[in-house]
Amino acid sequence: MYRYLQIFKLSCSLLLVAQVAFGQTTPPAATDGQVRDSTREKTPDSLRVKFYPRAFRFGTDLLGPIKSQTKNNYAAWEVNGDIDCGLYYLAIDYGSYGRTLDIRTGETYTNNGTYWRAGVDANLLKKDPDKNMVFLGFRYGRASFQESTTLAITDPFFGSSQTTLNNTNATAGWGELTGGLRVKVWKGFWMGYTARMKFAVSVKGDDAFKTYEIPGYGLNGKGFYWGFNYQIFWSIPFTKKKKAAPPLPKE
Amino acid sequence: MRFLLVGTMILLLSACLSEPDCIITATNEVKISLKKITSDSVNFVKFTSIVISGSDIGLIFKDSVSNLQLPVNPRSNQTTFTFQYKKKAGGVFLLRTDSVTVGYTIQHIIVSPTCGQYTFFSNLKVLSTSFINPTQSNPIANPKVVNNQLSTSVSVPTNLQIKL
Repeated sequence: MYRYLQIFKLSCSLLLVAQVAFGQTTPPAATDGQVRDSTREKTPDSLRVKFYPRAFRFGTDLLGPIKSQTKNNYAAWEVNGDIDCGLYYLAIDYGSYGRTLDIRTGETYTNNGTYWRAGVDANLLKKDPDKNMVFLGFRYGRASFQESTTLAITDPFFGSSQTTLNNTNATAGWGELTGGLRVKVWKGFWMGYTARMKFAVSVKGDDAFKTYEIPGYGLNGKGFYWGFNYQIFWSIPFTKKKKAAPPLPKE
Repeated sequence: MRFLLVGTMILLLSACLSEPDCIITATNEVKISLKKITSDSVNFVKFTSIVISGSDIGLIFKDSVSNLQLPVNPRSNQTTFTFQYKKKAGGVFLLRTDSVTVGYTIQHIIVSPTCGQYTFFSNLKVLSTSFINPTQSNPIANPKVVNNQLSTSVSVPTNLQIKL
């Protein structure tokens, strides 16, 4: 946990540095014969406009499919989408998760389910011409899943037995504070990551045994749980960018 | 911006999960302390046998004891302990038989893949008993649940207190 905190602090520091760096614009050098106006030149703030959808961006998480290929008894994928509404982005995620764990000799745990998250991201880079993002946001997540485990009981008084316990209709809900980056790499192709601080998880339907793992959340327990997504996106604008008006001819 | 993206990705990829400590206090044994019926002082009792419901094994004691650790049935949410013991009355030892039925909540918890999964017993309560109440005029619970969580921890010295 301490390591995660350190990484999170460092990540936040880097994000702040990025924000400061992008928040500063280099003033144009004064050319010969020109005297710069002492008053600051006002540039139109493209993001200080109305809240309306400008583009739809869809993508996928890379870690889940990579882990599915490299780990045994693990299958996960997640698709992501957001709508550019200016400063704010309406985000939604949908994913699937399945896993089988060997707990101890003769005991196994299986989990299989789907999840979704919905929320809003706020872009902290207000004046970036490519609309690259350093963002903070919030999500509400829900998962529905089924899990089972084999339980071996060995007791000198009551004998040995092995039973299978099932939580067939378990559901969970939680909140997330998110932060991360989205970078325009080429045309509509974007890459980025999302760091998630998950909290306030509540589980229902785990009557047979306490839920061990929640799809989209992680290990069930009190306190915070951290998650990361490394993502690629493709962006489709709803409207074409208007070409800049040609300069007026000098009289 | 792109360097920042790559840099933070590498940084975050270096993180790894740490396993929880495997300090497990789960047990199915009820810690019972025996007290004198007239006071809260320790009572040493000679049990001739103790029978636990759901088990074919009966316990026989050679010596007098003041503390017992008896297992509850992990496949049922209640267990009856039947005690046969000698009690002095009128200068002579009489053989008495008393029983107590306890109820509890069973929860199976997977601690971690390496630590394993354990069964925790909580919400211990007395469902029925044949032990007499020490003070008829001012009835108190006998047996009395002192701590309703079954645990191997030394912080839970007693679950059930019986006056006899």
